[in-house]
Amino acid sequence: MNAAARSDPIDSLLMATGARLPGPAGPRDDILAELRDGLIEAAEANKRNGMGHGEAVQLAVRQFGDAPTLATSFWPEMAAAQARRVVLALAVTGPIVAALWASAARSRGTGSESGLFDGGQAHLAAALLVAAALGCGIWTIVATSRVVHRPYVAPRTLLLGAAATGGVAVIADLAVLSMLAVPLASFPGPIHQLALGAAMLASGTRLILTSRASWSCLAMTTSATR
Amino acid sequence: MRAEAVKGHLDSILLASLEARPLHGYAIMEAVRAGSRASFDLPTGTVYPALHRLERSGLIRSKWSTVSGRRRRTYELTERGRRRLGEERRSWKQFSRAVSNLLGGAPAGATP
Repeated sequence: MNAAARSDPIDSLLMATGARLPGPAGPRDDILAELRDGLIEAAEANKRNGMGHGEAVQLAVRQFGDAPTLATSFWPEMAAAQARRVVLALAVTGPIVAALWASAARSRGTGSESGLFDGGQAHLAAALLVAAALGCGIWTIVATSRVVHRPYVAPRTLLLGAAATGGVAVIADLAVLSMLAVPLASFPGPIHQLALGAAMLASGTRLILTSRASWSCLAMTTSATR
Repeated sequence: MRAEAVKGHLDSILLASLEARPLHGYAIMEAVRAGSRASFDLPTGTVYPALHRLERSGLIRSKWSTVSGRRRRTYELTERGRRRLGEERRSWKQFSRAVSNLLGGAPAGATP
């Protein structure tokens, strides 16, 4: 905490509240900006009632409540934002990674990728995993949507849905990676190797980020009880 | 008045406070306090999340502006919110009339 925050009760309260709000920065910044405006308005109102500046600010801070209480009240909103962000990130990166793998498959020069997809049951399992990830993801997007009118879904369930989407996506990515990387790596050619490297790098990055995001969703479900 | 008494009516109270004009969060709390003759002093931790929930439900909408160098979020009723407020108002009148009949006069079924 810096010196300014120590001396200003409003900054102190907002910093303490922000530190207890896990999830995406955008919604958190909006919440803190709105609280700051309200706190300043409350202090101004107290001053109009005859209080000195320091007393007016202190009273405004007391009127708004303590940081843990404020953070707890905004937790459901942050949970929904986090779940939605994770699933949207998966939805955006999935096609990009798939396109890179398709590009690597085409670049091997045979003119057809059909030979890569003769694995029978393994490929069926991968397709089912992708379908499961899509299902979880679509459910989370719909459940956090502002447009679609739907029954209330508990924020903890949304987070678990997003974590499940991420978990299934990780398994699906690993399955696809293991099925495509080895056969594609056996083909020579610099363009092909470059395309394959790009696909593997994209898959690896997605795997790491997805694992971290899923873990953060699970961690957030427990943070509500702290 | 106890906070629990307000809880079930919080959405209606917030919608009603926005009926006349758009307001920011603190002004809504002030409007509720003034409108209820200081009977309702809504806790901040209840009002802001409730406003955000109403916005997600499409009953109110918000827009950001800059006032005195700081960001301000102002809320206003949507058409759907106005319709919902009308429904809530009708429902409340029926309910309060029924409760007044029960509590305000002689006990139902009492014999003189």
